[in-house]
Amino acid sequence: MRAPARPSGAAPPEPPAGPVFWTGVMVGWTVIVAGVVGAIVDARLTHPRSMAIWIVGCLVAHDFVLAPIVFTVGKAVRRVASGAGRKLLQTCFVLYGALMLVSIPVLGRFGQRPDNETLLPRDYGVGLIVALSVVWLATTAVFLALWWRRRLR
Amino acid sequence: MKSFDWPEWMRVGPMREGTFRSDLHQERIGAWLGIALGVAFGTCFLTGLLSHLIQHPPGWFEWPSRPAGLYRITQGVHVATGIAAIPLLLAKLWVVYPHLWTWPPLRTIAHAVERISLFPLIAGALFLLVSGLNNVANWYPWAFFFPRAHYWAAWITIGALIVHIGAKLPITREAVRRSGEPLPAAAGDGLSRRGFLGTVAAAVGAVTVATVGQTVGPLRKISVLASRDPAAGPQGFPVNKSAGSAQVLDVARDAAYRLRVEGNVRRALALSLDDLRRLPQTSATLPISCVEGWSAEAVWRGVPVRDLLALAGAPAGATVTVESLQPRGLYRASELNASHAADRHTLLATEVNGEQLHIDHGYPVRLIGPNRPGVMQTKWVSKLTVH
Repeated sequence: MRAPARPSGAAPPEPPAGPVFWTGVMVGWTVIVAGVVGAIVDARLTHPRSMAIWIVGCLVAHDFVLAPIVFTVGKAVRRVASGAGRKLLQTCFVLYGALMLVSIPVLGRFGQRPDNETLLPRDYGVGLIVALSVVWLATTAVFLALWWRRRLR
Repeated sequence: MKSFDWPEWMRVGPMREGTFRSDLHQERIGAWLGIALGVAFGTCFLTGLLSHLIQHPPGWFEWPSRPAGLYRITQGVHVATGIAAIPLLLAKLWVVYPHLWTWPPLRTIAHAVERISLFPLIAGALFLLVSGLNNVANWYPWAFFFPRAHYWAAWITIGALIVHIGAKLPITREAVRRSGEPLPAAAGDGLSRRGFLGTVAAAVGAVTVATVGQTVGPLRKISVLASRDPAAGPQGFPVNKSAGSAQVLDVARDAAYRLRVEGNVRRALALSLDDLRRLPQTSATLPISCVEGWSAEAVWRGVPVRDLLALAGAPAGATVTVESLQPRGLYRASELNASHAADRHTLLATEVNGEQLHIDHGYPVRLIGPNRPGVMQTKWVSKLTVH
């Protein structure tokens, strides 16, 4: 595998400093604490334990589940494809990932209720397949157009 | 400031050099995505705060009844921007993910404060988008009441965003200043910086087109992932709470139904549905604008609230509590401030789109007024209390 052009993790940005940073810290943390206190005072409706589990859960799910999956897929793409094919796959996968994540609540129909047919009125499986197909066709068309333009030049 | 020393043997796992090889983990890309996210979260915060103020107005706040479609726009923008922020946030987190494993982990006190502040920022932002997306699809796999948890989490996230902006202002300014300069030549042949940002923009467009038809009528056919179709439902538009789930199926159809007008009035009223129909009727084209982001327009017909107030001899500038037959629930009553109570299009509707109201739309009588959140358009109205 090639050596990275600019190893990330190396040369991290300078740590913050100065009056702007510390003013932001004071103001920002006042607002954060106000939000936490508000959620605790409002406990009858916010259920702070449930809320905390979901807030921390979202972070853990992203940092230690979703991100490693994405980096693994990225590595696989780099291994199997190069040049325009690699770019095409990368573009498609970014679009696929966004559409698939957004479709989870409707695709699972978790909020469906027998007394209300106006909620979740579509076949979201078909909808997602259509959306992913359109993305694939559109991305391929754009790449072909770019390739053609480069050839003409 | 003195830097902390870290022994090299602690540098393990993804903290080792060369773990993240893409050329796209760059400050300048992160800065541009950060600006876009700042605009998106700022927009969501302001529109969300507005929606909260409208539903829980403090003394100094009076939401006007005009323009009629304003709430439809602010809440539509709130939900659409939140969904658009999903690919933006994930792209940003991907770009900066190597910093999670930065070495050394903490360099100065300021660095520690900055990193600790990232916890409420990222966790809060993810929570807001996940909980909001689930709410749009009515999926509640948790114990908390969504609007309140979403509201307080928004304050936590915005506070953390203030810290973050203070920390990243110099880097962002530099990135914008140098935006025309070429980046160090990329060694790989994956997506370029421009290609990556273009792809993220395309993803924002894709999730928007796939969902925004729940409020933008002309797009309803191509919004294949929208949880509502604004033209699907009894009498041509959706229902949020059905009569069955509100437990009003019997009481709403009871012939003994009377609409009562009480409180600070010279003459209390108790009107049957026929009494209401005999009063002068007004028609108005008004949207139902749900807090969950869908909206649909309909033609409503009924008696203006202000006519009933005049009939009962209510004082000028009165405010009104509108109660439902619904026995319980946080949304069984709503308030009409002076502006909404006096608006000629704030109706107690008995008809919609030329038909008698469907029971799921609030038969026998529902409140419908301009520029109000859907949850404040009380259905199955039983009583007006004048203050």
